[in-house]
Amino acid sequence: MKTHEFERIVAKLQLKTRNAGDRLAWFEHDGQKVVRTKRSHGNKEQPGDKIRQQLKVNEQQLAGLIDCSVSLPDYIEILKSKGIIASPKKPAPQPQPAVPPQQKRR
Amino acid sequence: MASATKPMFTQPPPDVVPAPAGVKFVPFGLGEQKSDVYTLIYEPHSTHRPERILLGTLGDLGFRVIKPIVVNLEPRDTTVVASWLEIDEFGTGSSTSLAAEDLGRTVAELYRSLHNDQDKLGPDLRRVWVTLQEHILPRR
Repeated sequence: MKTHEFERIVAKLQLKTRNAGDRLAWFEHDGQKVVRTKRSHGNKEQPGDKIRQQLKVNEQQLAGLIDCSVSLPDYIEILKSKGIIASPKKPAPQPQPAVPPQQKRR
Repeated sequence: MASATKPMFTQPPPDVVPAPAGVKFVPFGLGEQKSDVYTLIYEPHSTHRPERILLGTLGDLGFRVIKPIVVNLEPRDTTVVASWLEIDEFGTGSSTSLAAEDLGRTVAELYRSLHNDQDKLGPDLRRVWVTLQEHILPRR
């Protein structure tokens, strides 16, 4: 993976970044840190397979992230389907008020 | 006026040290094998790079490794990739040791980052955080 391809993913997924020994990047959703990845500084070739594993996508999905076929909402759905993002809990059903049994009319 | 004083002691002139009895020095690999002659030929046991090593230090004085980290090594074109598969973390370098060193630095950085945000981690990073704590201990 080229450095500019990594940066395209950073921009598309709105990853939070920080420059340390490497360039670190996190994906956050609903206030939670969900996945993280990194690349080394400079224009060296990055190990795309390792970055793909950190982003929790398959090869096709990674290619889609680099070009235009996988969007941010698509990526969120991918992570939800894999259980990486916890699906919002459905509200518990309200208990029905007890209905007195109808009295038979005489 | 100047008078040259003779040193009290003088070093002996250089001399050839005789080989111990029964030992004959011969060039590597060219020695004539005799029962009373030892020929030293260096041959590395293996020229292969190991595919897996155990990492026992992170190269960061802030941490101690309490359980060895199994690191997979993959030579690429001009680099080596060192991976900790259990947590999907990796380091790269032009040699095995540099890749392992980069991995160690990354793991230390990851520990600090997850420690700071441990109350807002998703399910996968929570698992990573638990695994990190099994292997690494911050020094006091």
